[in-house]
Amino acid sequence: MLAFAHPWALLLVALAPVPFVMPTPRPLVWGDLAMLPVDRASDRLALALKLIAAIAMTAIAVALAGPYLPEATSTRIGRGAEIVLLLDRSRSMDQKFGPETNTLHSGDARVDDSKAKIAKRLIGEFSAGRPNDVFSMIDFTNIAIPTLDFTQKQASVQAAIRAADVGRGLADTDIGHALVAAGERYSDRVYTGSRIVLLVSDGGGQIEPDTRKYITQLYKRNRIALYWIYIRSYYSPPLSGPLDAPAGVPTSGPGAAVSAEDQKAAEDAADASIPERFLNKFFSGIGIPYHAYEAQNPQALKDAIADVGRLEAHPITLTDTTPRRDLSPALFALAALLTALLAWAKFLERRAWD
Amino acid sequence: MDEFFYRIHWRARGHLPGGHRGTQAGAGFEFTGHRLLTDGADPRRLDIRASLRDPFERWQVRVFAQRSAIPVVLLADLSASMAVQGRHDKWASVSRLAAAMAWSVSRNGDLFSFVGCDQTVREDLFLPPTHRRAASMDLAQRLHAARPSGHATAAGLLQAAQWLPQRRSLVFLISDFHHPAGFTEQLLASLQAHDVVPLVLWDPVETHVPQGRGLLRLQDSETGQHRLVWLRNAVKDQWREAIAGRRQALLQTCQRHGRTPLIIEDAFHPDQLTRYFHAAA
Repeated sequence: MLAFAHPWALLLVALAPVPFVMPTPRPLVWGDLAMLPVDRASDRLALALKLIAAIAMTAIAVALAGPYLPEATSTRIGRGAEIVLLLDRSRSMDQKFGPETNTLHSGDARVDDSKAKIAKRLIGEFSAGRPNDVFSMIDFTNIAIPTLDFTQKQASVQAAIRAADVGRGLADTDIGHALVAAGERYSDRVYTGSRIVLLVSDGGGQIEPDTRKYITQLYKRNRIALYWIYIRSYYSPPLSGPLDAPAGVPTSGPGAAVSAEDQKAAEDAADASIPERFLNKFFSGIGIPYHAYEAQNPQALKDAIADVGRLEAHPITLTDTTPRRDLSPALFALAALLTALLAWAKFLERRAWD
Repeated sequence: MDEFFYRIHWRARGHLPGGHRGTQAGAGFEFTGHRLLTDGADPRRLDIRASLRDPFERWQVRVFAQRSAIPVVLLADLSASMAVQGRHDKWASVSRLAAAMAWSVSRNGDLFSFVGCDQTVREDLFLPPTHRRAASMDLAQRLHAARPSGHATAAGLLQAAQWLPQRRSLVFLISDFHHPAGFTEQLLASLQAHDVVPLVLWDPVETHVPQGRGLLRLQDSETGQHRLVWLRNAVKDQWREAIAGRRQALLQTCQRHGRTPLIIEDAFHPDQLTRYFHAAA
């Protein structure tokens, strides 16, 4: 409903009849008006000018009172998934992919960008490609920093994503804590559609057994699907499969002829010791829909978007908050327009005889 | 001092000697007939020839009519519209005319009287018939201080007849004749006993439709009403007709009561009056 910031100014509306009551100052004095021809158009114009003046004064008075439509919440039915964007903001994300000449793992010409920038771009494109989904965002380092509550407004989502790379990241990464925070996002929400946590990170971290247990329970209870966009840099190991990582990753003996068994054993050892591989294994074992994408090339991102798109789009209930709307500028504009009309009439007016 | 010439075409009835043809026998040059010396005529005017011609041999004496003075009255409309500032200041014209008239009248040996009326007859400005030469200065001063203001009408003019001299006088009625319908007719009828010269004081602003276009915000000097006039060709044509119509109606009304009005459309100059009387003779 309409409300006023300064209701006392409405008293000024009492001035509105002034143009009708008060004579216009400084008219030309005329001997005998009865001598002049009666012209109805002139009379109507005079009345119209008075009305315009009255309306302009009313508009100014009401505008001074500061009318506004207060903040309102409305419920809306949408269609799509609910997605929590979980973005890694640790220091390692500020680094680049690797040697500048190497485009193998970045799969992209823009290797010069930091990983955070690329991550930002990736999820920016991802959310832009899914306008019907509801997004929430959490940045994390050693703590989780919720930056955006669930909303469908793309402007807010993109702004939150843009805000994610302000400044420099912190040194530590507590991925368990972040996953808990993301999962708890859904805890007191009614299940209205597919729930997704989209983790964007360049690496993993160890998660304590108690936290692992809690995450398992939480994600199962809340029926959350987990997608991990793994921003794999030059020196990072792959999430699964043979360790054909670039030289420098000490996984296999130099120059050794590796047998299939040895290979398997090496992989298992890597799964236990390398955090990324460990995490991948853990996520796969939770028993929830899980998929990891290694963001080495744009195709991986497209795959991610397509996969999420295939998820059933349930109708979801959204609560929209309409911000408070200030109505005084419109009234001031109206008053300005009317006053300009009056000024024009004044300009046309003859101030003296010849 | 502004001065103008005026004359009348009727015989003055007063016994005071002056400049107009009168009915009173006396020391004039206008021969009116003979009388018998025995009837008490002046023996200095004894007419020998007429006496010799008389078959009854009686003494005949010539009789002359003396030239007499007449009362001249300036009857002024002091309503608010007389102080309207157009291209010229009407009130300045009134003051100038009053002073010129008082002066010319006293130079002519006539009696001058001033009657000013707004809602009523203004007693404070009333000047009874007088020969006093200083009256012109006096009147000019008083008129200067009495510039009309407010929203006074000219209703008092209808009572003015009671303030005029009994005998036939030359009455200059100065007004803008912006009166309600029928008022002028009624006023002239009330002054029927006198020779009334209507002096119509109009401003070029009133007699010409304004040039160009635009809006005119006018206020009636007497009623105080406001009127917005949107100047455009249709209105200007109507306006022109209204002006011509008003002039025509005024001419007819005045002529029905004996005199053509003198319409002063520009600033007043005494020569306008002189020309008027020459033309009327």
